Amino acid sequence: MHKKRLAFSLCLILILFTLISAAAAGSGTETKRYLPLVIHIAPTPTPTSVPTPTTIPTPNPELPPPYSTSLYMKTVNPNTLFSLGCEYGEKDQLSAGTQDNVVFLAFGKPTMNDGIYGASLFGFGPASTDEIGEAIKQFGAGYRSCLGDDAFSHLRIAVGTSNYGDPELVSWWDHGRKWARMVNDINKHFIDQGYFTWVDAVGASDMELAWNSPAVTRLWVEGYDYANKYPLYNFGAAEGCPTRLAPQWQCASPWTKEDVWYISFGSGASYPMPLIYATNGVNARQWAWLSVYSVEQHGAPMNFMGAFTQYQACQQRGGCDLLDNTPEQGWQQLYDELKFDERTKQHLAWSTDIKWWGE
Amino acid sequence: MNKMQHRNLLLVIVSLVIVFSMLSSQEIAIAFQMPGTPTPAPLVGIIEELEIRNLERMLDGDDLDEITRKALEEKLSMARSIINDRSITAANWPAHAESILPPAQQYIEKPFPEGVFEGGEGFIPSSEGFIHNRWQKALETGFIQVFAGFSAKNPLQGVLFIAETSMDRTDTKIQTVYPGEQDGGLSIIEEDDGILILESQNMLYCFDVLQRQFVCVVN
Repeated sequence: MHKKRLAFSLCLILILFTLISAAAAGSGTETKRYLPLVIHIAPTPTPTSVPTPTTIPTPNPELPPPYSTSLYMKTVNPNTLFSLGCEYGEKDQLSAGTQDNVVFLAFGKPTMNDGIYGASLFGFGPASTDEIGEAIKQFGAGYRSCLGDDAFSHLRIAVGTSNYGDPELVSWWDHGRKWARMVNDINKHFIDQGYFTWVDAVGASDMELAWNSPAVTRLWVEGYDYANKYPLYNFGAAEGCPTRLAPQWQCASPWTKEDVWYISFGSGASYPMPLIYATNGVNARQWAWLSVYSVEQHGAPMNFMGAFTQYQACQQRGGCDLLDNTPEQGWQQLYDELKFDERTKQHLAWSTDIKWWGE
Repeated sequence: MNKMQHRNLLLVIVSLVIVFSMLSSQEIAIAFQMPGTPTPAPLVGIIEELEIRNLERMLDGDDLDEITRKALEEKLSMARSIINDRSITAANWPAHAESILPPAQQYIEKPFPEGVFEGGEGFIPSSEGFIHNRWQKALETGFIQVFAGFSAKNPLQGVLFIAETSMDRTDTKIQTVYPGEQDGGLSIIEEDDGILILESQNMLYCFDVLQRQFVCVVN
């Protein structure tokens, strides 16, 4: 009798464990708890009314994440931007697992015409911040629309301009402030529409040392930081700045390491997601060395959002001799260089590669 | 109950506790989900969660200077605010994604700016050339832009980049043309009926945009 009960108990345990193991196969992340649980084995759940169970990959932090494609934009046509956003949404929905990406939409240099601030669209504009904001709202709507029943994926839109332009023709502080307000307004719209969990926006600027003075660039960043509720990503390069192999180098005059640190991380708004295009790894070494500078002069390393490359743009237009890192190479170079010093070693969440829209 | 019955009962209870604790993870809950049962809320920011933990750890450091501490506090506040707002809109799922429609109105692009403008806008990679200025015009078939400057590989070598873009702005072809002389960077002075007048350090040039060639040089 006792033997029978013991056998019955063991069988019961065995059956339950088998069921649990089968159910748990493929899952890998501990998250929220749901109790009590009603176990229902059959029939098979109807796929139409139930979201697809999403497995959250546990990526190897030493290897590059999948890259996103960022775009240089020559239009702010809301219909075009909705369709573009939809393409990104569909891609995420169809990709296995949960996606979390950043996409930079770069609209060209800052402009100011008759008191209206905007960006140049690389000679095809200018477009006002209102027009750019509306375009991004449509991009977000398109993304959410085509994400369908994917409850977990997320896209961050980095709305980009640059520090290119005449110091006298634009009120740089005001332009930065307007850019921040545009980003605030875009996110308010996403919150009001209920999309914000899946799509949000940050400001971004391709801040190149050769394109403008540190004074002008700092003014723009300070203007952004004055009005912002959301971060600002610098996707520029640190031309000329020193590296661990060439510590005697100087950032392109009149820039200093402190200037580059400030616009990229020292401002409360800023994060670096730098352009790592040189195949010899010099960009990665420059940024990693700036992070060492950050530790030694300011007490903390710079937090990098990821690496930015231009491989696809180079494929489209050519002329990138030795400056065409693939996204994987760019990410790996930056990761490895940051790892070189234990104080700056960090996880790099994102990888993006830019191309010209439509080409 | 005798001793053996007690032992069996205990064994079953312990097993059930183990099983329930395993079942309480979200993924297993999903796997056993029945149609119509409540679905788990979307994740609201793994990257932000990591960032928040990282910033909190950095703010614990003793070596921070005041400007960095202030910057990190602002970054932390932004990350927390984003997480908070995401949690709020997460309640909107599942939403009817199909009901989100593109704008009904057709957009008409503004007229293409024509004339001579300063700078190159980053249109040409700085690895290829440094641009002084550009001339651009709308054509029947699209748009043309001529960028004047000097080669990135040799500052004495003037260069023109001619970019022709389709009407829908989705296709651009770029052609590079060099003057015969190495007399420094080129700048566009004016355009007259399809001919660009350019200058370098000591020379004047005429460039026929349609023919894509220099048609005069004056020392």
